[in-house]
Amino acid sequence: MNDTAQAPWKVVVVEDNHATRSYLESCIKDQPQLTLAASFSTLAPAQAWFDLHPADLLLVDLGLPDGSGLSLMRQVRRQCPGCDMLVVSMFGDEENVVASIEAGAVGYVHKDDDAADIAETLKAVKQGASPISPMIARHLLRRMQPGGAVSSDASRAPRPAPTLAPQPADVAAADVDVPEEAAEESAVVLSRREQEVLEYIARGFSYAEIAREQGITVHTVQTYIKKLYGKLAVHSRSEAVFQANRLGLLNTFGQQFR
Amino acid sequence: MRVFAVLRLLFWVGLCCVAWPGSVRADAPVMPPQVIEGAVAEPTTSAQMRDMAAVELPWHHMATLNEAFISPGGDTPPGTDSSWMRVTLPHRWQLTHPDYAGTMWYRFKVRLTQVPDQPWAVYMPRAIMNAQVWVNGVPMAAQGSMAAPVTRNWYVPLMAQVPAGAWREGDNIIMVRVVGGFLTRNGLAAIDVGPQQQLLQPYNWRLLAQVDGPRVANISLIALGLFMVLVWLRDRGQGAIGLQGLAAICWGLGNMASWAPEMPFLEQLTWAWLAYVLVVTSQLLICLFFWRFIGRRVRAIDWSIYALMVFTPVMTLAYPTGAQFFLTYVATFILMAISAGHALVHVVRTRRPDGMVLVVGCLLAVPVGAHDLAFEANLLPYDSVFWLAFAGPLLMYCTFYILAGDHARSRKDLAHLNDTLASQVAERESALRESFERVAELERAQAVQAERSRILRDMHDGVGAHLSSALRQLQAARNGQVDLGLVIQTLRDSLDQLKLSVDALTLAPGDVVGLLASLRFRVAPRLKAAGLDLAWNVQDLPSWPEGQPPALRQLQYILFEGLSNVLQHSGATRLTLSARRRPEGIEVSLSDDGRGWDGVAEGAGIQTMRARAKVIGAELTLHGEPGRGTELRVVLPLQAAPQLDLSSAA
Repeated sequence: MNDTAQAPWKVVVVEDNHATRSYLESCIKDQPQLTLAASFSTLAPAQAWFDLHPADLLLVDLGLPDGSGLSLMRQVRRQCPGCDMLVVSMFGDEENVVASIEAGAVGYVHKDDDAADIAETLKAVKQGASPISPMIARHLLRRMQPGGAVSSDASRAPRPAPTLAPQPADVAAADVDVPEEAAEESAVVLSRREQEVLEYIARGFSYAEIAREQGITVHTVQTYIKKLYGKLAVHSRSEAVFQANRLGLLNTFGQQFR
Repeated sequence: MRVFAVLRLLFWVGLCCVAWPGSVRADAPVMPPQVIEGAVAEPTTSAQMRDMAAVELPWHHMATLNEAFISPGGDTPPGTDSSWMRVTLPHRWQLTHPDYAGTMWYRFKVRLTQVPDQPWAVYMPRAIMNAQVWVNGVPMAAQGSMAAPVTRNWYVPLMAQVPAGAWREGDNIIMVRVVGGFLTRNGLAAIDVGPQQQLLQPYNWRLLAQVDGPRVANISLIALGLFMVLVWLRDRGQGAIGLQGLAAICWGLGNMASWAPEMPFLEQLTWAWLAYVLVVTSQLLICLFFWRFIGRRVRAIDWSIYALMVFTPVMTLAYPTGAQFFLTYVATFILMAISAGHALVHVVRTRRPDGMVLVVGCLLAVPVGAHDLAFEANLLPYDSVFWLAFAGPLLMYCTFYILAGDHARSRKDLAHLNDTLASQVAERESALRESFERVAELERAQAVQAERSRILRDMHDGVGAHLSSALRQLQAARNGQVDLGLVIQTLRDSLDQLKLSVDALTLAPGDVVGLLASLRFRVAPRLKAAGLDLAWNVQDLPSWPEGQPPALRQLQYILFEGLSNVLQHSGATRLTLSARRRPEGIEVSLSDDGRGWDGVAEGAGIQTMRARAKVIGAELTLHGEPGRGTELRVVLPLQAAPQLDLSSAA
């Protein structure tokens, strides 16, 4: 799948800052393995575009003039599961990155990263990697502690309806996933290996150092992270479904929009 | 106050007057017989006695006989030839026959104009110890026993019915046989003879005053006393009530002997002794009660009371004389007068609620006590009545009235307290909540202030400094020669500082490993660009006790500065960051293989690092040799430093 003979990956950029957008576009154009499929400065046309087209990669800013990049990510996740999404972040800060991961992102790029680094990240993601920082790893470890998930439930509890109501299709899609996820507790369940890798990252070790320490390849380490992100995204959705079920909203909405 | 002092003095004086002659007389073997009670006693010949004129009795009316001939004798009337003595009633044996014990015959001669056609009787208001009437040589029924042990009817009025057939027209001889008892003022008061119907009236009055009245008073007093003792048993703190209850019970039981001389299962003398002891004890208990009531303890009084409580039963058993009985009464009375006097002064001075009730009770009881004492001392008519039998219970009712008032008042207070408690609690609660809110508000304000100053310092030291130096670098390029590399470097530093300060926001206090990890993550691109190989040797570290967010930020600055130095000046290719736990603290070291530091020239950057280390209580050492690299070592103490001024460490 990831051999160089393959057709270049189609990349979509959504960024309202002109300079940054141009910079990102240039990063992509420089790479023969990547091709710029579309570029938007606002949310609405991007959403319309994705209704009609598939893509391989999406680079999206969270703070767009007409809405949050999160909603675009949710849409793309449903309509185009093969599309890997990356957030364009200034600081790579915990709050925004975690929200993005929950919306389906597999990582982020810094606005001030070198062009080569950005291109590298894009290609690595397509090859199964996920960028992560020690701060994000710490956050994930905290969430996996007993009680951590509960408190995050509680913080989400008061607003399931507004989350669900405008996006009925989301519920319908989640409905399909529910059977295998229903058995899962509301906490994210990690394998021991995933946990160890997260702990190493939290302590500042690089992928290479972890791979050496664990006797695995760097690629394996990267796929652990990507799987972990996937779990987190599914978890956040199953939480929403759980809350909707609890409030008796799911059947009504689910049937109506099926 | 002064009034009571005078009253007390009067009591004392009165007491001395009453007590002194009485005690002497009780002991005196010989008394001038004509002095008291108008008793005229003179030896009489048999002829004189036989010739004595009979008292003519109106047959339809009762008459009082107060002249009699007396003769000591046995179970049967002595003959006319015995030695008779003429006396006027009331007559006490002590006056004519000192220390005589046994039987005394009193002989009256009356003349009836006709034999009565209705039941007649002989009424003896007071005969001590017991008496039996003989009419014309025929004995009438007696109340109780005339033989030893003699029924102790000394305070019970006696009425002997005489059937009409016992009388005869003309002269009739009435004999009253009086038997004496143990330690009593034996004697006989004037007797009444006449139709029973007429005698019943004075008899019943006396019965009421001496028997039925005291009976009612004493039994009710016992009931009251039991109740008080029960109250005390349920609430041991109420010692005064317990004492008063005991006193009431003792008083009631002790006075029972005066109207119930015979008790089942108890010998008469034992009963008499017990009754006496009980009465004295009762009065002593009242004295104790008074002091409790006042709330004062006078050791001398207390000990006198206890001593008398022990002394009385022992001495009456061991040395039973009238004098001793009387002295005990006097001592008790004195103690009572002192105690009651103090209680009165107390209630008046403190304006105690219901105090006047006690004043009335005492003003009644103390003179009554003096009266009874005077009676004991033979200063009063022989057939007088003991007033204390009524005044004693009355005084105790007064005190109980006061105690019940105290109880009612405390209940009322409690009810009032209950009513207001809820509102008081609510008031306190709201006051507390208010102050909590105020404190919380203050804390919030302080937290916001601290956060604000932290961010301001952060901007000033980090982003602000870098941006302004970037601006100056651009401004300095007058002739179009901009050192682009320098400006980019400065701006990159600025962005990195910004990211580090964002990371510092989410670091847990004391989390040095997290700090190092985020630092590595943030500077990794730069190290990579510089071709610097970083060896990561970070162990698990304990929490840094002083690692509050401002201190963590300082550590970030120090390490960032160290890294910048390596990047800019050292020309190193390999960098090692190690962190481990040491006995003296957490050691973080940054060593490179660059040119090395000469150890002499300390630039402004290093001085700033030292200053920052000092602020967070860390020990900073810089070690380097030319050509052999440099090592920056920071040791974070695990023991909290005594005075760490973190307010300036932001």
